[in-house]
Amino acid sequence: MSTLQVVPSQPCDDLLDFIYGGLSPAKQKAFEEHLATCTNNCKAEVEATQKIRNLAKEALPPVEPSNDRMAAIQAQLLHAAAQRKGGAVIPLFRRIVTHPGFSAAAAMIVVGLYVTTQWGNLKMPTKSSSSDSASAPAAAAPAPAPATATTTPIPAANPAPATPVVATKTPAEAPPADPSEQAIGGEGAAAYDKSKRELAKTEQKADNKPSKELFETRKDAPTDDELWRRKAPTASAPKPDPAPEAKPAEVAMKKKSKMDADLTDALGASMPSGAKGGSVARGDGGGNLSTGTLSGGLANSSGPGNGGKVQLAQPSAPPPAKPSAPASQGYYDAKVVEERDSRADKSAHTGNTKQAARPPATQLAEPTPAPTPAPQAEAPVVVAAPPPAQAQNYAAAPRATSSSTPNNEQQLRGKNEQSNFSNLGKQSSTAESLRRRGDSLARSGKCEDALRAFNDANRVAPNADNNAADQLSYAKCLRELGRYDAAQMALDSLQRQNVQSNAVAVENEVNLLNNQRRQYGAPTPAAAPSKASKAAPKARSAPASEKASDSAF
Amino acid sequence: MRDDSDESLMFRYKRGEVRAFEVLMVRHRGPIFNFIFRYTRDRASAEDLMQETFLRLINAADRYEKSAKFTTFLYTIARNLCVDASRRGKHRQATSLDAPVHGSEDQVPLVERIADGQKQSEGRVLDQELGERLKKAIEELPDEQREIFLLREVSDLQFNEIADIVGISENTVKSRMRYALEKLRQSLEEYRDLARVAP
Repeated sequence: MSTLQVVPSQPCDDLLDFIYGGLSPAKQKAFEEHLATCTNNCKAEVEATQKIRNLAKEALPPVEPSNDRMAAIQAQLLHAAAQRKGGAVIPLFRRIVTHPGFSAAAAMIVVGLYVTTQWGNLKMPTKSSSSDSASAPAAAAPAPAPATATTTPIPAANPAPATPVVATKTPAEAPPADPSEQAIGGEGAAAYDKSKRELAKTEQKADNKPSKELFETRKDAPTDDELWRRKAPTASAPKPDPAPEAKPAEVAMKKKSKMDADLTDALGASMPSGAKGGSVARGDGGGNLSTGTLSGGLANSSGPGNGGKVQLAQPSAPPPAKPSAPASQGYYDAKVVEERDSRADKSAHTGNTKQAARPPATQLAEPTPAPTPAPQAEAPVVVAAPPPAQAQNYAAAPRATSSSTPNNEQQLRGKNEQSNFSNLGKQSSTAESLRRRGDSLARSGKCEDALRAFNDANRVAPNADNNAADQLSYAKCLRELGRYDAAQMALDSLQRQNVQSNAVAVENEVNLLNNQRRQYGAPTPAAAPSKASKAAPKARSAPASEKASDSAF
Repeated sequence: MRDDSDESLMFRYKRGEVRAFEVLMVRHRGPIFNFIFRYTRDRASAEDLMQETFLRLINAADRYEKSAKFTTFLYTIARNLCVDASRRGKHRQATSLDAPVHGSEDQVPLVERIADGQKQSEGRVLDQELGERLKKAIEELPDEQREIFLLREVSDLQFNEIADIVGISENTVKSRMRYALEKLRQSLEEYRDLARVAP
């Protein structure tokens, strides 16, 4: 409502109020006097307005709806009004319920009640004596719990003075009740509650139920490990993995021995009559070295106890054809063939216990100087861990011992080094250092480790160029480990590279290889490198012929 | 209860007394309907809007406050409904008695065709003509002037109440009323002599 008061600048402005009776008596009288003297013809205007009002009242009489329609409307309105019945109570209730804070308050109340009840259950002792204790008079002297291992009810109404606790085996002794806490209202109740809690604690200990206080106060609580160890025989929990605790060397030895046995069986299975060995693909026909004749006389030093002695065996059926080397004869391809050979050997043998016929390289006559353990600068670099397949290959391969040291020591050393390699596997190293290490290992006769180092170097820098010496060492190690195909591929790659400075070395290697095969009755391949180079193209087609020749045996 | 003020009845209904609402409804249904009818110039629309007005009053009962006058509260609802209806065009032009009837040969206005049972004196005829003329003039007023005129002349509300209902100042209400009266006076100029003569 507007509270602004009209302040007419002229008396004529009060005309409307004068017409509709909105002036006070004094003002109305004054306006009447103004009408008599007004020059704006207010009087005529007042008369005209009065006429219009009279006409409007006649022209616009009150109109009412029809009776039927009005009755229906009234009924509907009354019904709607009755729906709202409830007065202040319902609106108030609705207002409260629909308030946004109501739901939050209700939720908090519910949560609080739940927490309170749960907390009460946790605090309440489990024994039924708690009900008895509730009835105990608050003034009763709280007799401390007789500290025995067995559960005892709380003394209900015992006004006797407190007796000292006779603790037997419980660490927490209930202190004697203070006489000053007796018999007076809240003090007695507090002491009573305290004794009740202590009794509950004692009972829990007797029942082997861990209490909160125990774990909070005890410092000699068993650790999780101890608990596991105690429960180890019967618990269903998974036992800790012993691998971290076991020595890597012992584990490796076990694995190797197992793999050796598997390899022996596998090699035996591939040769129906026991001949073992790998086929050699030589294009000059010298590759007809029968694996049977070669491996028939050779026994794999499958175990650590075998001093690498060659055990001759009768020639037997040739082994199954092995996948030939791919056309790209190279250092890396040789490695691939080597791995493939090892895998093929493993998969081909199915538990045959015949001896493997891989010739330990040390037993072959070769003019190679005794490898002296060169002062190898222990490379601070570490190599990456070899893949599991290669690790198994290294483990399964016969121990290539070229020194006079006992095989056991070398094997242990190799295992140690392998374990060292494994341990240092995560650290990266440069390819060059790896190759140097491989070369040094090859010179020292540790062909497995050397091969691993060379493989790691190639993995780190696959596109790097390898010098001829490294390639030669690699081929040598392959040969000593019995990977003739891979060794041949490596030598062929050297020849293709036209490394003139190592031509003699290559020739020597070829001769050595031929001697090996000749010794075991295999057809002698061409001795000269020149002939070998000519034979190289033929080598690519040799696998098929060799397979046929192998199958002839 | 019939002697209680509108405000007290409204509060009683707010507390849950349906009978109080009934008293209020009977008391104000006529003026409300009359106002709505004069505003919309259509009986059917007026009935619907009247019902809607009271329904809204029921729903708004919880929000009614003692400071507000009941008539102001009620007419505010009614006026808003009328304005909405006017904007939606629900109300239709009332059949003009002066407009020629389509299809008739002589094009005689409807008002002349309606038979009046009583003997029409000349004065009454003039009054009727003036009345019709006035009604037409009122219909031709702008909405904002017409509602002020109707609220003042038909519903007999004070200017301050009209100001609260419409939501404007009292001076504005008076100003619009003055303009409305001026226009009505001009439209009746040709009947000035009759207006002077008429009682």
